[in-house]
Amino acid sequence: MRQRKLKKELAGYTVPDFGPEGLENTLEAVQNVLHPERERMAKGQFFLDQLRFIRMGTWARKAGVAFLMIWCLFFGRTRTEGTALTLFSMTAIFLCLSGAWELGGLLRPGLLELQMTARNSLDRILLARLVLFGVFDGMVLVGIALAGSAFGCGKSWQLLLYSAAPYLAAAGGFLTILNRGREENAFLGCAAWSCFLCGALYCLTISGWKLYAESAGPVWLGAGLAGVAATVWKSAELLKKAGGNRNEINIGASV
Amino acid sequence: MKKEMEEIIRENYGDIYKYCFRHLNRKGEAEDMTQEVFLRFLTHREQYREYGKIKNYLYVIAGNAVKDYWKKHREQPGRAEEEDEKSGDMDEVLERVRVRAALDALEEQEREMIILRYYQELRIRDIGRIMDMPPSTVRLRLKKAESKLREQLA
Repeated sequence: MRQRKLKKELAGYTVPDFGPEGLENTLEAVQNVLHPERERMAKGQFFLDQLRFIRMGTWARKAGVAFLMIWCLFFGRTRTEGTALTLFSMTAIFLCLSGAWELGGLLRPGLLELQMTARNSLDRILLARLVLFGVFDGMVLVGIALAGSAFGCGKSWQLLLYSAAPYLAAAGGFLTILNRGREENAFLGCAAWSCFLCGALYCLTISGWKLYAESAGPVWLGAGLAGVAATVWKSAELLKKAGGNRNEINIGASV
Repeated sequence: MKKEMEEIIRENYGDIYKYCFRHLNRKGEAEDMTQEVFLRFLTHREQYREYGKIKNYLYVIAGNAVKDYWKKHREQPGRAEEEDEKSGDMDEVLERVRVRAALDALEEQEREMIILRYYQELRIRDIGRIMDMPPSTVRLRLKKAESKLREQLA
Protein backbone atom coordinates (compact mmCIF):
# COMPACT_ATOMS: atom_id res chain seq x y z
CA MET A 1 0.00 0.00 0.00
CA ARG A 2 2.71 2.40 1.05
CA GLN A 3 4.69 1.51 -2.03
CA ARG A 4 1.68 2.19 -4.24
CA LYS A 5 1.29 5.59 -2.63
CA LEU A 6 4.98 6.32 -3.15
CA LYS A 7 4.71 5.23 -6.75
CA LYS A 8 1.76 7.55 -7.27
CA GLU A 9 3.71 10.46 -5.86
CA LEU A 10 6.79 9.64 -7.94
CA ALA A 11 4.63 9.58 -11.08
CA GLY A 12 4.53 13.38 -10.80
CA TYR A 13 7.99 13.43 -12.37
CA THR A 14 6.91 13.07 -15.98
CA VAL A 15 9.17 12.54 -18.97
CA PRO A 16 8.54 14.25 -22.31
CA ASP A 17 8.18 11.88 -25.26
CA PHE A 18 11.24 11.39 -27.39
CA GLY A 19 11.15 12.73 -30.91
CA PRO A 20 10.86 10.20 -33.80
CA GLU A 21 14.08 11.60 -35.29
CA GLY A 22 15.95 10.49 -32.18
CA LEU A 23 15.07 6.87 -32.82
CA GLU A 24 15.74 7.17 -36.57
CA ASN A 25 19.13 8.82 -35.97
CA THR A 26 20.05 5.99 -33.62
CA LEU A 27 19.07 3.37 -36.18
CA GLU A 28 21.07 5.20 -38.86
CA ALA A 29 24.13 5.47 -36.60
CA VAL A 30 23.97 1.76 -35.82
CA GLN A 31 23.69 0.91 -39.53
CA ASN A 32 26.84 2.90 -40.21
CA VAL A 33 28.68 0.94 -37.55
CA LEU A 34 27.39 -2.37 -38.88
CA HIS A 35 28.17 -1.38 -42.48
CA PRO A 36 31.19 0.93 -42.39
CA GLU A 37 31.61 0.67 -46.17
CA ARG A 38 28.59 2.99 -46.42
CA GLU A 39 30.70 5.75 -44.91
CA ARG A 40 33.68 5.02 -47.09
CA MET A 41 34.40 6.74 -50.33
CA ALA A 42 33.55 4.95 -53.50
CA LYS A 43 36.62 3.71 -55.36
CA GLY A 44 36.34 6.41 -58.01
CA GLN A 45 36.01 9.08 -55.35
CA PHE A 46 39.07 7.76 -53.51
CA PHE A 47 41.06 7.74 -56.75
CA LEU A 48 40.26 11.36 -57.56
CA ASP A 49 40.75 12.35 -53.93
CA GLN A 50 44.40 11.28 -54.25
CA LEU A 51 44.94 14.30 -56.49
CA ARG A 52 44.88 16.65 -53.51
CA PHE A 53 47.57 14.65 -51.71
CA ILE A 54 50.08 14.90 -54.55
CA ARG A 55 52.23 17.92 -53.90
CA MET A 56 51.92 20.96 -56.14
CA GLY A 57 55.66 20.83 -56.62
CA THR A 58 55.35 17.49 -58.39
CA TRP A 59 52.85 18.86 -60.89
CA ALA A 60 54.96 21.97 -61.32
CA ARG A 61 58.02 19.84 -62.10
CA LYS A 62 56.06 17.78 -64.60
CA ALA A 63 54.74 20.91 -66.27
CA GLY A 64 58.24 22.33 -66.39
CA VAL A 65 59.65 19.22 -68.01
CA ALA A 66 56.75 19.11 -70.48
CA PHE A 67 57.58 22.67 -71.57
CA LEU A 68 61.22 21.70 -71.88
CA MET A 69 60.20 18.79 -74.15
CA ILE A 70 58.22 21.16 -76.32
CA TRP A 71 61.15 23.58 -76.47
CA CYS A 72 63.53 20.80 -77.45
CA LEU A 73 61.23 19.71 -80.21
CA PHE A 74 60.25 23.04 -81.66
CA PHE A 75 63.22 25.26 -81.03
CA GLY A 76 66.00 22.74 -80.76
CA ARG A 77 65.50 21.86 -84.40
CA THR A 78 67.25 25.06 -85.33
CA ARG A 79 70.32 23.01 -84.50
CA THR A 80 70.78 19.54 -85.94
CA GLU A 81 67.64 17.45 -85.90
CA GLY A 82 69.43 14.59 -84.17
CA THR A 83 70.45 16.82 -81.26
CA ALA A 84 66.93 18.16 -80.84
CA LEU A 85 65.44 14.71 -80.84
CA THR A 86 68.08 13.39 -78.44
CA LEU A 87 67.28 16.18 -76.05
CA PHE A 88 63.58 15.47 -76.60
CA SER A 89 64.07 11.79 -75.64
CA MET A 90 66.16 12.77 -72.61
CA THR A 91 63.53 15.13 -71.25
CA ALA A 92 60.98 12.31 -71.45
CA ILE A 93 63.15 10.45 -68.92
CA PHE A 94 63.00 13.43 -66.57
CA LEU A 95 59.24 13.58 -66.97
CA CYS A 96 59.15 10.11 -65.43
CA LEU A 97 61.71 11.04 -62.76
CA SER A 98 59.54 13.90 -61.53
CA GLY A 99 56.91 11.34 -60.49
CA ALA A 100 59.44 8.94 -58.94
CA TRP A 101 60.20 11.50 -56.25
CA GLU A 102 56.55 11.44 -55.13
CA LEU A 103 56.31 7.64 -55.21
CA GLY A 104 59.55 7.27 -53.28
CA GLY A 105 58.07 9.41 -50.52
CA LEU A 106 55.27 6.88 -50.04
CA LEU A 107 57.67 4.00 -49.54
CA ARG A 108 59.98 5.46 -46.93
CA PRO A 109 60.67 3.60 -43.66
CA GLY A 110 58.01 4.44 -41.08
CA LEU A 111 55.26 4.77 -43.65
CA LEU A 112 54.63 1.03 -43.52
CA GLU A 113 53.88 1.24 -39.81
CA LEU A 114 51.66 4.25 -40.34
CA GLN A 115 49.70 2.53 -43.08
CA MET A 116 48.64 -0.20 -40.66
CA THR A 117 46.47 2.36 -38.97
CA ALA A 118 45.19 3.86 -42.19
CA ARG A 119 41.78 3.04 -43.51
CA ASN A 120 43.02 2.67 -47.08
CA SER A 121 46.08 0.46 -47.50
CA LEU A 122 49.27 1.75 -49.05
CA ASP A 123 48.92 -0.38 -52.17
CA ARG A 124 45.68 1.39 -53.07
CA ILE A 125 47.28 4.78 -52.56
CA LEU A 126 50.32 3.76 -54.58
CA LEU A 127 48.18 2.36 -57.39
CA ALA A 128 46.19 5.59 -57.53
CA ARG A 129 49.41 7.62 -57.82
CA LEU A 130 50.85 5.33 -60.49
CA VAL A 131 47.69 5.56 -62.56
CA LEU A 132 47.40 9.34 -62.12
CA PHE A 133 50.99 9.93 -63.16
CA GLY A 134 50.69 7.41 -66.01
CA VAL A 135 47.61 9.13 -67.37
CA PHE A 136 49.04 12.61 -67.03
CA ASP A 137 52.40 11.76 -68.55
CA GLY A 138 50.74 9.71 -71.29
CA MET A 139 48.59 12.70 -72.22
CA VAL A 140 51.67 14.94 -72.25
CA LEU A 141 53.63 12.59 -74.54
CA VAL A 142 50.74 12.02 -76.92
CA GLY A 143 49.87 15.72 -76.96
CA ILE A 144 53.41 16.78 -77.72
CA ALA A 145 53.76 14.10 -80.42
CA LEU A 146 50.56 15.24 -82.13
CA ALA A 147 51.47 18.92 -81.81
CA GLY A 148 54.97 18.28 -83.06
CA SER A 149 53.60 16.37 -86.02
CA ALA A 150 51.17 19.20 -86.80
CA PHE A 151 54.04 21.69 -86.82
CA GLY A 152 56.22 19.55 -89.03
CA CYS A 153 58.72 18.33 -86.42
CA GLY A 154 58.26 14.74 -87.50
CA LYS A 155 55.70 11.98 -87.75
CA SER A 156 53.51 11.59 -84.69
CA TRP A 157 54.26 7.88 -84.21
CA GLN A 158 57.98 8.56 -84.37
CA LEU A 159 57.81 11.43 -81.90
CA LEU A 160 55.71 9.29 -79.60
CA LEU A 161 58.20 6.43 -79.78
CA TYR A 162 61.17 8.76 -79.21
CA SER A 163 59.62 9.98 -75.97
CA ALA A 164 57.66 6.95 -74.78
CA ALA A 165 60.43 4.38 -75.12
CA PRO A 166 62.94 6.21 -72.89
CA TYR A 167 60.09 7.15 -70.53
CA LEU A 168 59.10 3.50 -70.11
CA ALA A 169 62.70 2.38 -69.77
CA ALA A 170 63.11 4.97 -67.04
CA ALA A 171 59.85 3.88 -65.36
CA GLY A 172 60.89 0.22 -65.32
CA GLY A 173 64.21 1.15 -63.75
CA PHE A 174 62.70 3.47 -61.15
CA LEU A 175 60.19 0.87 -60.05
CA THR A 176 62.97 -1.72 -59.75
CA ILE A 177 64.97 0.67 -57.56
CA LEU A 178 61.95 1.55 -55.40
CA ASN A 179 61.21 -2.17 -55.05
CA ARG A 180 64.66 -3.02 -53.86
CA GLY A 181 65.29 -0.19 -51.49
CA ARG A 182 63.17 1.59 -48.92
CA GLU A 183 65.98 3.96 -48.06
CA GLU A 184 65.47 7.66 -48.10
CA ASN A 185 68.04 7.99 -50.87
CA ALA A 186 66.15 5.70 -53.27
CA PHE A 187 65.52 8.82 -55.31
CA LEU A 188 69.28 9.19 -55.82
CA GLY A 189 69.24 5.73 -57.37
CA CYS A 190 66.46 6.85 -59.69
CA ALA A 191 68.40 9.98 -60.61
CA ALA A 192 71.47 7.84 -61.33
CA TRP A 193 69.39 5.58 -63.61
CA SER A 194 68.12 8.67 -65.44
CA CYS A 195 71.64 9.90 -65.97
CA PHE A 196 72.64 6.45 -67.21
CA LEU A 197 69.81 6.40 -69.75
CA CYS A 198 70.61 9.93 -70.92
CA GLY A 199 74.25 8.96 -71.27
CA ALA A 200 73.31 5.86 -73.24
CA LEU A 201 71.15 7.93 -75.59
CA TYR A 202 73.93 10.44 -76.08
CA CYS A 203 76.49 7.75 -76.78
CA LEU A 204 74.20 6.09 -79.31
CA THR A 205 73.63 9.43 -81.03
CA ILE A 206 77.29 10.34 -81.31
CA SER A 207 78.24 6.81 -82.35
CA GLY A 208 77.05 7.63 -85.84
CA TRP A 209 74.11 5.26 -85.79
CA LYS A 210 71.02 6.92 -87.29
CA LEU A 211 68.99 6.46 -84.16
CA TYR A 212 66.23 8.81 -85.23
CA ALA A 213 65.84 7.56 -88.78
CA GLU A 214 62.60 5.89 -89.79
CA SER A 215 64.44 2.61 -90.22
CA ALA A 216 65.23 2.58 -86.50
CA GLY A 217 61.51 2.55 -85.72
CA PRO A 218 61.36 -1.17 -84.85
CA VAL A 219 64.25 -0.70 -82.41
CA TRP A 220 62.36 2.06 -80.63
CA LEU A 221 59.21 -0.04 -80.66
CA GLY A 222 61.06 -3.01 -79.19
CA ALA A 223 62.59 -0.81 -76.51
CA GLY A 224 59.16 0.64 -75.75
CA LEU A 225 57.55 -2.77 -75.40
CA ALA A 226 60.38 -3.96 -73.15
CA GLY A 227 59.81 -0.83 -71.08
CA VAL A 228 56.09 -1.58 -70.83
CA ALA A 229 56.78 -5.15 -69.70
CA ALA A 230 59.30 -4.03 -67.08
CA THR A 231 56.99 -1.30 -65.82
CA VAL A 232 53.99 -3.59 -65.47
CA TRP A 233 56.04 -6.36 -63.83
CA LYS A 234 57.78 -4.10 -61.34
CA SER A 235 54.57 -2.18 -60.60
CA ALA A 236 52.83 -5.43 -59.68
CA GLU A 237 55.75 -6.41 -57.44
CA LEU A 238 55.84 -3.04 -55.76
CA LEU A 239 52.08 -3.00 -55.14
CA LYS A 240 52.28 -6.45 -53.58
CA LYS A 241 55.08 -5.37 -51.27
CA ALA A 242 53.41 -2.13 -50.31
CA GLY A 243 50.06 -3.73 -49.65
CA GLY A 244 48.09 -4.18 -46.42
CA ASN A 245 48.92 -6.40 -43.45
CA ARG A 246 47.96 -9.52 -45.37
CA ASN A 247 50.72 -8.93 -47.90
CA GLU A 248 53.18 -7.95 -45.18
CA ILE A 249 52.59 -11.22 -43.38
CA ASN A 250 52.93 -13.26 -46.59
CA ILE A 251 56.16 -11.57 -47.58
CA GLY A 252 57.51 -11.86 -44.07
CA ALA A 253 58.04 -8.22 -43.33
CA SER A 254 55.22 -8.00 -40.78
CA VAL A 255 56.01 -6.06 -37.60
CA MET B 1 22.37 -9.22 -37.29
CA LYS B 2 21.02 -6.03 -38.82
CA LYS B 3 17.35 -6.94 -38.26
CA GLU B 4 17.95 -8.25 -34.73
CA MET B 5 19.78 -5.09 -33.78
CA GLU B 6 16.97 -2.94 -35.12
CA GLU B 7 14.44 -4.92 -33.08
CA ILE B 8 16.51 -4.52 -29.91
CA ILE B 9 16.71 -0.77 -30.45
CA ARG B 10 13.00 -0.35 -31.18
CA GLU B 11 12.01 -2.42 -28.16
CA ASN B 12 14.30 -0.70 -25.68
CA TYR B 13 14.73 2.83 -26.98
CA GLY B 14 11.83 4.27 -24.97
CA ASP B 15 12.91 2.80 -21.63
CA ILE B 16 16.54 3.74 -22.02
CA TYR B 17 15.55 7.26 -23.09
CA LYS B 18 13.36 7.66 -20.00
CA TYR B 19 16.19 6.37 -17.79
CA CYS B 20 18.62 8.85 -19.34
CA PHE B 21 16.12 11.68 -19.04
CA ARG B 22 15.53 11.00 -15.35
CA HIS B 23 19.26 11.38 -14.78
CA LEU B 24 19.91 14.33 -17.08
CA ASN B 25 16.56 16.14 -17.14
CA ARG B 26 17.37 17.37 -20.67
CA LYS B 27 15.47 15.93 -23.64
CA GLY B 28 18.10 16.55 -26.33
CA GLU B 29 20.93 15.22 -24.25
CA ALA B 30 18.86 12.25 -23.14
CA GLU B 31 18.28 11.37 -26.82
CA ASP B 32 21.99 11.75 -27.58
CA MET B 33 22.91 9.61 -24.62
CA THR B 34 20.38 6.96 -25.63
CA GLN B 35 22.05 6.78 -29.04
CA GLU B 36 25.43 6.52 -27.34
CA VAL B 37 24.15 3.65 -25.19
CA PHE B 38 23.10 1.63 -28.22
CA LEU B 39 26.34 2.33 -30.05
CA ARG B 40 28.31 1.19 -27.02
CA PHE B 41 26.11 -1.88 -26.80
CA LEU B 42 26.91 -2.67 -30.42
CA THR B 43 30.63 -2.56 -29.83
CA HIS B 44 30.48 -4.59 -26.60
CA ARG B 45 27.56 -6.89 -27.29
CA GLU B 46 29.58 -10.05 -26.74
CA GLN B 47 29.76 -9.18 -23.02
CA TYR B 48 26.03 -8.95 -22.40
CA ARG B 49 25.64 -12.55 -21.22
CA GLU B 50 27.04 -11.62 -17.81
CA TYR B 51 23.94 -9.55 -17.07
CA GLY B 52 21.28 -11.98 -18.19
CA LYS B 53 18.77 -9.97 -20.15
CA ILE B 54 19.83 -7.56 -22.84
CA LYS B 55 17.86 -4.84 -21.08
CA ASN B 56 19.93 -5.24 -17.91
CA TYR B 57 23.10 -4.78 -19.91
CA LEU B 58 21.65 -1.71 -21.59
CA TYR B 59 20.96 -0.21 -18.16
CA VAL B 60 24.54 -0.95 -17.09
CA ILE B 61 25.84 0.83 -20.17
CA ALA B 62 23.41 3.70 -19.62
CA GLY B 63 24.50 4.02 -15.99
CA ASN B 64 28.14 4.24 -17.05
CA ALA B 65 27.25 6.75 -19.75
CA VAL B 66 25.49 8.92 -17.18
CA LYS B 67 28.55 8.78 -14.88
CA ASP B 68 30.81 9.74 -17.79
CA TYR B 69 28.48 12.60 -18.64
CA TRP B 70 28.60 14.08 -15.15
CA LYS B 71 32.35 13.62 -14.92
CA LYS B 72 32.67 15.58 -18.15
CA HIS B 73 30.24 18.30 -17.17
CA ARG B 74 31.39 18.50 -13.54
CA GLU B 75 27.88 19.28 -12.28
CA GLN B 76 26.03 17.68 -9.41
CA PRO B 77 23.57 15.17 -10.82
CA GLY B 78 19.92 16.17 -10.98
CA ARG B 79 20.45 19.92 -10.82
CA ALA B 80 19.52 20.63 -14.44
CA GLU B 81 16.51 22.92 -14.57
CA GLU B 82 16.03 23.18 -18.32
CA GLU B 83 13.07 20.86 -18.87
CA ASP B 84 11.20 22.19 -15.84
CA GLU B 85 11.23 25.67 -17.32
CA LYS B 86 9.81 24.46 -20.63
CA SER B 87 6.59 23.03 -19.20
CA GLY B 88 3.55 25.31 -19.47
CA ASP B 89 1.42 23.88 -16.64
CA MET B 90 2.44 25.41 -13.31
CA ASP B 91 1.07 22.54 -11.20
CA GLU B 92 2.94 20.00 -13.28
CA VAL B 93 6.11 22.02 -13.02
CA LEU B 94 5.80 22.35 -9.27
CA GLU B 95 5.11 18.66 -8.87
CA ARG B 96 8.07 17.74 -11.07
CA VAL B 97 10.36 20.07 -9.15
CA ARG B 98 9.13 18.66 -5.85
CA VAL B 99 9.75 15.05 -6.86
CA ARG B 100 13.11 15.86 -8.43
CA ALA B 101 14.24 17.68 -5.31
CA ALA B 102 13.26 14.66 -3.23
CA LEU B 103 15.23 12.37 -5.56
CA ASP B 104 18.23 14.71 -5.50
CA ALA B 105 18.29 14.50 -1.72
CA LEU B 106 19.02 10.76 -1.93
CA GLU B 107 22.46 9.29 -2.29
CA GLU B 108 23.49 8.31 -5.80
CA GLN B 109 23.01 4.59 -5.28
CA GLU B 110 19.64 5.09 -3.57
CA ARG B 111 18.44 7.33 -6.37
CA GLU B 112 19.54 4.78 -8.93
CA MET B 113 17.58 2.04 -7.17
CA ILE B 114 14.44 4.18 -6.98
CA ILE B 115 14.68 5.01 -10.68
CA LEU B 116 15.20 1.39 -11.67
CA ARG B 117 12.46 0.07 -9.37
CA TYR B 118 9.74 2.70 -9.64
CA TYR B 119 10.29 4.25 -13.03
CA GLN B 120 11.88 1.48 -15.06
CA GLU B 121 9.86 -1.16 -13.15
CA LEU B 122 12.62 -3.71 -12.85
CA ARG B 123 12.65 -6.69 -10.51
CA ILE B 124 14.90 -6.77 -7.48
CA ARG B 125 16.95 -9.55 -9.03
CA ASP B 126 17.55 -7.54 -12.20
CA ILE B 127 18.46 -4.43 -10.20
CA GLY B 128 20.96 -6.58 -8.30
CA ARG B 129 22.52 -7.73 -11.59
CA ILE B 130 22.73 -4.21 -12.92
CA MET B 131 24.18 -2.74 -9.75
CA ASP B 132 26.31 -5.78 -9.04
CA MET B 133 24.95 -6.58 -5.58
CA PRO B 134 22.94 -9.43 -4.11
CA PRO B 135 19.12 -9.10 -4.14
CA SER B 136 19.01 -9.00 -0.32
CA THR B 137 21.27 -5.95 -0.32
CA VAL B 138 19.10 -4.32 -2.97
CA ARG B 139 15.96 -4.92 -0.84
CA LEU B 140 17.59 -3.46 2.24
CA ARG B 141 18.94 -0.35 0.55
CA LEU B 142 15.76 0.15 -1.42
CA LYS B 143 13.72 0.14 1.81
CA LYS B 144 16.03 2.75 3.28
CA ALA B 145 15.72 4.86 0.10
CA GLU B 146 11.93 4.58 0.11
CA SER B 147 11.62 5.80 3.70
CA LYS B 148 13.98 8.71 3.00
CA LEU B 149 11.95 9.59 -0.07
CA ARG B 150 8.65 9.51 1.85
CA GLU B 151 10.09 11.93 4.39
CA GLN B 152 11.18 14.26 1.61
CA LEU B 153 7.84 14.10 -0.17
CA ALA B 154 5.77 14.50 3.00
